[in-house]
Amino acid sequence: MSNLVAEYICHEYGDSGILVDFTSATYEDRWQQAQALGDALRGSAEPGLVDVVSTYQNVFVSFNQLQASHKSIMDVIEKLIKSKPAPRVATVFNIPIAYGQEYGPHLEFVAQTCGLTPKQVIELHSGEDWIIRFIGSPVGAPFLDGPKIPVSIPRLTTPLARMIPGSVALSGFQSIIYNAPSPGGWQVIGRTPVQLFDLNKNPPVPYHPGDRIRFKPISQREWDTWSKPFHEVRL
Amino acid sequence: MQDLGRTGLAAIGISANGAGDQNSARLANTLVGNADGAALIEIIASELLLTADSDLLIAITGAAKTVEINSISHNTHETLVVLSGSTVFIPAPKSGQRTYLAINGKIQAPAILGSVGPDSFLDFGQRLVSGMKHEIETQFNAGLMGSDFSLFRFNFPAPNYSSEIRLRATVGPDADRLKAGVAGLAGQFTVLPQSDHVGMRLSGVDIDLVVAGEILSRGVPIGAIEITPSGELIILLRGRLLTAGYPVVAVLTRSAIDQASQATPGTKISLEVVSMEAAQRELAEKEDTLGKLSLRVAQAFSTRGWKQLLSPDHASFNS
Repeated sequence: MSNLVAEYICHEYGDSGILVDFTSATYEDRWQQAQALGDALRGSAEPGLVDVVSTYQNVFVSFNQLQASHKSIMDVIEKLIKSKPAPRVATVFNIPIAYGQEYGPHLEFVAQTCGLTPKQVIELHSGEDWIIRFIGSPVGAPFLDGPKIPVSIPRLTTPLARMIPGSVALSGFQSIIYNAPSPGGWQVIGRTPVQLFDLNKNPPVPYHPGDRIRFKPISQREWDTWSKPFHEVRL
Repeated sequence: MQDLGRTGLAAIGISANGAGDQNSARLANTLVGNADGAALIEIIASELLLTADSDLLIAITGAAKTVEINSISHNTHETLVVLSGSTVFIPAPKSGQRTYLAINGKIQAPAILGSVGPDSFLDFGQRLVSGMKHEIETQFNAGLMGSDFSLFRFNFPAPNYSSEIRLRATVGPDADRLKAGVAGLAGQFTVLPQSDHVGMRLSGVDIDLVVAGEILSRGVPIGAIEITPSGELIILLRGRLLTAGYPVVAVLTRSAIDQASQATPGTKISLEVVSMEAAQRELAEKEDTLGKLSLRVAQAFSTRGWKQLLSPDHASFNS
C-alpha cells in the first residue's frame, strides 16, 4: 500500500446507489484502495447501508433511501477512505483445468486474438499464479489478474445465456471462474471439474481477495477423477 | 415461493433476487398484517387454484385484477377472508405478469441464506406444483370474525399494466459514451423473449456509442441500463450478476424496476430520463403511500379485535 492519499470520484448510480471510481496512479493502488474501502464499509454499522461490491478499482455502495442519501453515504466514504487494509497472508490454491475443445470453445479465438497458438495460451494461462482481486457473482466467482496477456481480449459480442459451471474465461487482461450456470460475456478457454463453493460452509468459499490461484492443466482422461467438491480435495 | 430476497451478501457474490415487483409483494404482506419480507407466493404469467384446509386471511396484489373465492369474484388489492374448505382461483393476468398472494401468518418453506426466494445460480427455489400442500402457521380463524363482514375495503388503487410503458431512469456514470448523450435513448424498444429475472433484453433502436471499449468489471445496480458491444440494450433485474463491464448509461428508478418486472415479451418500452430529485420524490411518495396504508390496516385490525394478527414487523410499526 502506498502512502499516497486515495484519489477517487463518486458517481450517483441510480436513486439508491453510488459508484466510487478510484483514479490513483497505479492499478495496484486503485485495487488496494477499493478493497480497503469495501472492507471498511462492510465493517461499519452505517445505518441504511444495504450492500457493498468492491472490485478492481471501484466500489459500488447501495443504500436504503429512507435511512441514507447520496450525500450521507459520500460523507461516510470520505471518512473511511483513509483506512488501511488489514494485512493478509496469501494462500495459493491449485485449480485443475481442462483447456480447449468442449471445455474451452473460445480458446482458438483467444489464441488468434493474441497471435499465439492455443498451446501457448495454455502455457501462459497456467504458467504463473493469478491473484484474486475480488469475489463476485455467480456465487463466489474469483475475478483474477495474472500473467501478462499480450492483447486485451474482447468480450463476446452477445453474452451467453448459460455458462457451464466451472468455465474459466478471459476478458480484457483478466480471468474468471464461473462457479454456476449463469449468463456470461467472457471468452471461455477451459473448465475446472471442481466446485469452488459450498453453501453449508461459512464462508461458502475458502479464498479471499489477495489469495492466489494456479491453474494445473489436466487431460480429458483426468477429468473424471476430479469429481469431489473443492473443500474435500487436497490440493 | 418468494420474498424480498437476499441482501448484504455481495462479498460472496450472491445477488439479491427476490420478488420482481417488490412494491406489490410488500403491499400484499402489509394487507394481511405480515412483515414486508414474509414469504409469499409469486405467480408468474399463469393461473393458480388453491384449496384452504383452514380459515385464512389473504391478499392478492400485482397483475391479477380479480380473484374467485368459491366462484365468487372479488377485487384484488384487498384483505380477503377465506373459510376452511373454500377454493381460491387466481386467473392468469391479462396484462402484467407477476401476481402476489400473501397469507396472514407464516408459510412454512425452506430458506437459504435468509430467503425462501429462488436463485438460479444457487440452484435453489421452490416451484409450486399441482397437489402440493403447504403448511401455514396463522392465528386467524373464523371465530375471530364476530360478524358477517368478511371484507375490508381499503380501496387501494390497483396498478394498471399496459403493452406500452414508460420507464423512468436517472443518468448513469457512462452516459457520456452515448454519441447523442441520454437523448440517444429516445425511441421505442421492445422486450425480447430472451428476457428473464436476470435481465431484460430490448430491441428496437440502434444505439451509437462514442467509445465502445470495455470497462473493467465493477458492481452494477439492479435497474442498470447497459449497452452491449452489438448496440443492444439490457436492463438488469433482481437476479443480475453483481458485476459487469458494459457501459451503464442510465439506471431505472426503484419504481420503474418494479414496473419493468411486470413487462411481458413484446411490451413496448420508452425511457424517460428524470432528475435524481424527481426519482427520489417518486420513491418517497411510494413509501409514504405504503406507510399510510399500513396504518389503516393496523387500525382496521385493531378495531376488529384482530391485533394479534399483526406481525411485530408489520410496516405500520415503522410508519
